[in-house]
Amino acid sequence: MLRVAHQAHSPPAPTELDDATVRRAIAGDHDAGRELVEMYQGRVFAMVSRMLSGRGRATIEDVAQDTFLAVFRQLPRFETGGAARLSTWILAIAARRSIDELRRMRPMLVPEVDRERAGEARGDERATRRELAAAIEAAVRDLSPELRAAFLLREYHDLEYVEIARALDIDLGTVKSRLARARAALRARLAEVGHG
Amino acid sequence: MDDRELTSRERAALDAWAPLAPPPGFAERVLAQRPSSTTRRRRWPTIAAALVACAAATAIFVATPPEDRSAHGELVATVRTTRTLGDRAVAVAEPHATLTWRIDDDGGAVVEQRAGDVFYRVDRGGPFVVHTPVGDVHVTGTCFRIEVEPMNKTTQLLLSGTVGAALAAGIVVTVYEGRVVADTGSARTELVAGNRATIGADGRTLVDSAGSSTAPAIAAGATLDERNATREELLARTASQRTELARLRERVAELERLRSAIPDNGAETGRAWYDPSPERLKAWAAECHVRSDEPGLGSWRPATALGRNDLGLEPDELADYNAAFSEVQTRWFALVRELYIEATGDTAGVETLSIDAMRGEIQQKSAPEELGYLLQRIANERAGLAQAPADLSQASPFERMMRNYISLGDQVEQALATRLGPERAKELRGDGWGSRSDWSGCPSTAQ
Repeated sequence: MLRVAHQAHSPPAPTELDDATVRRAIAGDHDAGRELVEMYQGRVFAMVSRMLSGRGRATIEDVAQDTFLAVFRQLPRFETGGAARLSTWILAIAARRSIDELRRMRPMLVPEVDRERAGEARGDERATRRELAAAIEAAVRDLSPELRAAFLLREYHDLEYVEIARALDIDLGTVKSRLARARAALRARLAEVGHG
Repeated sequence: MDDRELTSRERAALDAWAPLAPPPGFAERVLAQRPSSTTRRRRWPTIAAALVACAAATAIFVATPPEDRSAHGELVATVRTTRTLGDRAVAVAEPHATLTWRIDDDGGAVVEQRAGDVFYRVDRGGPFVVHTPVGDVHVTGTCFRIEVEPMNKTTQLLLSGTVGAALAAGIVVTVYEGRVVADTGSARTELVAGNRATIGADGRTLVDSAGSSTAPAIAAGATLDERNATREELLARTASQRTELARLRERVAELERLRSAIPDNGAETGRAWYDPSPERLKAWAAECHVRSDEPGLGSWRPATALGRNDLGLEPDELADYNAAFSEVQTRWFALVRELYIEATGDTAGVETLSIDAMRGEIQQKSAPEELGYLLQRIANERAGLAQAPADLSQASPFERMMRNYISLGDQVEQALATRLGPERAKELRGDGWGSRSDWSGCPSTAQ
């Protein structure tokens, strides 16, 4: 059973599900399935919500749910104890589902207003942070779905280049060029808000 | 090219953009929809018959008017139905097959096959992918077939509260020409002509031979071990194959006759999706064929100034545009929730299920063949061959939902017309709203 560390001297919280729990999840154990979702749902929502920025909570939840259903279907093929981390494998599925969703939808769907950002500014620091967040979000939203996925997997989820290549089924050179373009776009946006 | 990694300052800035957190109870919601993993095998047509179907699909494709080559659509087949998908693909859907498709501007195609048995003929071009409940099938140029194997009814009932159409125990992919790649996320399996892959809900892929064009291994309706088969069995199989070939040839001839009965595009007035000509409506009535368009109200969000250009709106039209869409969406959502409760008795579900999931459940609760009877009535009403009912209060939840759904495009146009004028509303609708549905199939028995 996984436990999150709350005390200063406790070991750090695990970032991957242990193999025994994965095997129980494959066998259909309900508790193990729940542990799997709870372990990775934060990362999946982080990926999907940024990929589908502005598409609305309902869509994001649908894609996140769809991701986990795909994970359960494909989990028996995942090699426990192998080189690939389960989190990387799940994020790859989340990225591909998000790309499909972006391709499926028409550009008429536009961002929901973020309540926090739409509210009154409370202090310079908070206002600056909101401005920064808006600039980053805008930069990412300007990227094509494939560029977006590569950028988010690298910069928010710390995947190695080779892991991104495998996740998106592209070669290493393409990963590098996509990341370079995405970073350039980000830097341009950050410069616009004086954070260059 | 800027190859520099982000600086620590830039990385710190990224934290300003916070993601959405999962909602409470998300894990249980996922687990409630997790399907079981039973599989069963299905019978297969002959390879020779399938190759005839490849040729037939090509003939249909050539004969299809460009406006029918829909870039975006949905099909729920109640009888065998042939549809062109964009400029380079034909799908032949067997009864109960459900699929949606979208063709991108660059020619790439994304098809989602949620249920049933569909035969595809795809010409070379951009990417072509078929999403199924257990994995994706990537195609180059080929003839192939996908069967989505349903779960048994008992399991579906136990999982009530989920969308039945999304439940599947596995798929079977057979390739007749060219090659495809079956991708379950964790494994990619290349299949070439003659291969058949059975992919279970657990992702396991079993590849075997579907026979070759010179020595078909599978007879229509049954698998036959040629080495141990008796002479009578082989003769019976040959007879069965000949019957299947004859049936397919008849089908091709019938489709060509139907197609030739429709006037050329140049002579026809009206739009293919929401304002077809009387001739076309009459031809559709014979096939119980209904089309509709709507602007994706299930996931619509108010447009902002940022998205205005994409929609072709003037700055002063934005508020009216949003108000019109919002008005119809609110009405539609309220109706679906009301009908969902009426059909299922589940008052809690309306708080958690999406509108599309509720639609699926309402359809699941409909009587056998109700869709076919309904399409027959609506197609006849639209063609002026029958009177539309004045009072729907006694109609089933499914009928009320369907009739409202197929009128959503008109409702949105009307709501826009009251605010922006009828001409502008028609202009914004163009050749049809983006989400297009295409239903075909008459009931197998008279009502």
